[in-house]
Order: sequence, then structure tokens, then C-alpha cells
Amino acid sequence: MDEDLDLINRAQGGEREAFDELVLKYQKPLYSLLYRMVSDQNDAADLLQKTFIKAFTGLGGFERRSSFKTWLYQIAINLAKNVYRERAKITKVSLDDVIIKRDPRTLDSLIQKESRLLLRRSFAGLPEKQRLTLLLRVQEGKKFEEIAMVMKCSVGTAKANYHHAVQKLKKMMGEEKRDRESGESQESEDRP
Amino acid sequence: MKCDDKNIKELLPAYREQALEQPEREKVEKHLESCDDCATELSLLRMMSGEAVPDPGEAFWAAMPGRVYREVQEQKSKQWSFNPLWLARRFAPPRWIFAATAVCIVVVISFFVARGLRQTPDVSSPDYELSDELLANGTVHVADLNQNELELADDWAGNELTSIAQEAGPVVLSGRSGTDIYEELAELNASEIEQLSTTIDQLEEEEG
Repeated sequence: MDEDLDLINRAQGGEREAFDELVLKYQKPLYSLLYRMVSDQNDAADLLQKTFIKAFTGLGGFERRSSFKTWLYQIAINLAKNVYRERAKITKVSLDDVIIKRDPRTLDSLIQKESRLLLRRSFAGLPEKQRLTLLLRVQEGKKFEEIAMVMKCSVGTAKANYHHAVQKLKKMMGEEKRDRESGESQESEDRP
Repeated sequence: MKCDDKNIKELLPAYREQALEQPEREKVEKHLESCDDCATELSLLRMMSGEAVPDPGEAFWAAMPGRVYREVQEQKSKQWSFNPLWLARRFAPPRWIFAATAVCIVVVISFFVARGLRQTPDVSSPDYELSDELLANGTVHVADLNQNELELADDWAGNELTSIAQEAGPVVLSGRSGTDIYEELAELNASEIEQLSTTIDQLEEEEG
């Protein structure tokens, strides 16, 4: 039984406190999800507001077959998909600009930073459904059953998307790393 | 080398979240000691989950409910303009009411149909008696008779019609319309047959 049902009924009845409670409860996890999808704070904030507005104006259409949380996530993902498709934001940093100093104090942090950049680029290159599944599983900590409900697919499909995403990510990061390493070794050979 | 152990791979996210029971945790840890593929995947998952989301600040969180509420109220006030589709959705009763109404209608119709059937007299019952109204008319229609009465009427008609036909002789046998005499006699009702019989008796007396 959805624990939010009471709040939803009261919010539908016009009770302001119930309305505010629902927003306060879900705004942070939703914002987190939206930011990871669009990689921009302003877009994420805008999408968060639109998600709640769409949910509360369309509350009459909420058939209570899934939880209110799942329904909110579905709305948020659909809104974010449109933005993501238009903007396709990828954090672009020229890896050539990353200067690896031979100073042990900075080397580890630079390697970590580089790895993160690689990861973000690879993640952004995944097919949409796989990227969403990976995001929901790893960064939102959702179980496969919850992911299946949010993405309106079977549990098997959710698991398959997840595994394919991880395999592709590993492959893409491995290829990027190899390309970079071969580029560096070529550079060092070219140096007089 | 790529690992094909799907069981371990499925457990990796939960292992990262430290959500596994001891036996499963030990199983994963033992596997990770010898599997580079899974170890890489685990570090990938750790890196992904470590990606920080910038915090927009407490003022942002505090203001969000109010902003959303105002926008929702504004949209609702716009919706109150005449919009048949919106009004239908807004005031439409829940679906279960339609189902319940349909069931009630079927029950009511069934009740009246069954009641109507019950009122039709069961003429096949031996207890069935012809109403006084029918008898007072002097005519009895075959459809109104019960089984016993039909058998009696059949016997009577067989005897009476045969004797009438024999006594009527060649004058009647041909029938006016050229049809068979028995067919014409079968079309007579009980009262007419009675009258015919009386007439024949009178004729016999006159001849006798």
C-alpha cells in the first residue's frame, strides 16, 4: 500500500501542508536523478519544478497502480529525455590539456580526475535506455523491480539493459584509455 | 578475461552498497580475488556512485514547494474556462460506478423478465384449469388447453369428426372449397362442432 496515499488524498482535497510534504519528500532524490541525466544545474532545477507541476495538475489521472514515487520518476524521466535529446550534454575536456605532472602529490588526484572524465564521456555515449537503467541502479540505488516499473519494462529487460550498459562502459573506457595511452606514447616518441 | 558468472555480476551492485549477507559477501570477495573483469566492474560502479551532485542550497529547497503550489493553482484557475474534455475528466465518476450501474440494470431487467415468465400460466400442469372467462366465451382455443384436455379433445374430435363425416355423406365430403372434409372439420371450434352435431341429430330425427 502506498504510504503517500493519505498525503495524495489530502493534497487533492486542497490541503497545503500535504502538498508541501510531498514536494519536500521527493525534491532531493528527483533533483539528483535529473542532474545526472542532463548534467546542468539550471536545467535540473527547471525540470524538477515542471515534474511536480505536471504531477500535481494531473493527480486525477494517477491511477494508483504504481507508487506515487514511481509515477513521479516516470514523469521526471520523460521530461528529462526531451532535454537530453536536444542538448546531448557531454562534458568535453580535451585530454591533451591534462598535464600529468610527475609529482606524486598530484598524480593520484589527476589520474582519478582523468578516470572520471573518461567515465562521464563513456556514460554519455551509451544508448538511452541503458544509460537510464545504469543511472537508476547505480546512482539511485533502485532494485531491478523498481527500475522495471519506472521504465515500464520487464525485470528481465531491466537486468539485460544494466548488463549491456556495464559491458559497453568497460569497453568504451578501455578503448579510450588505450587510444590515450597510444597517443601519449606517440608523443613521447616524437619529442626530440 | 571476460567473466560469465552472472550470479556474481548481479550481486556486485549490492556488494558495493554493503547490502549483502555474510555468506554472499564472502562469495563475492573470493571471486573478486581472481577475476579482473568483475574487479574492474566494481571499481566502475564505485566511480559512478561517487559522482557528486552539486547542491543548489537550502534556499532553493525551501522555496520549491511554494513555487510549485503557486504554479499549480494558476494552471488550475485557467482550466476552469469551458473545456468539455477537462470538465468530463474532472467530474467523471470513478469507473467502478459505471460497472456497478450496468450490473444493477441487468439485475432489474432480469427480474422483470423472470416475473413476466412466471405470470404466464403453465398449461402443461395437470392442476391447470381453464379460467371461467375462457369458458364463458363459449370458445376454447387449443393453445389454452393442458395436456390432459388436449388428449380428451383429440379423442373426442376423432370420434365425433369421423361419425360426422360418415353421416354427412357425399354432400359434405367434397367440401365447399375443394379441401379434404377432415381438414375443414378440424378447423371448427368446439362450439361449432357441437352445433353441427346437434343439427345432424335433428336431421336424423326428421328422416327417421
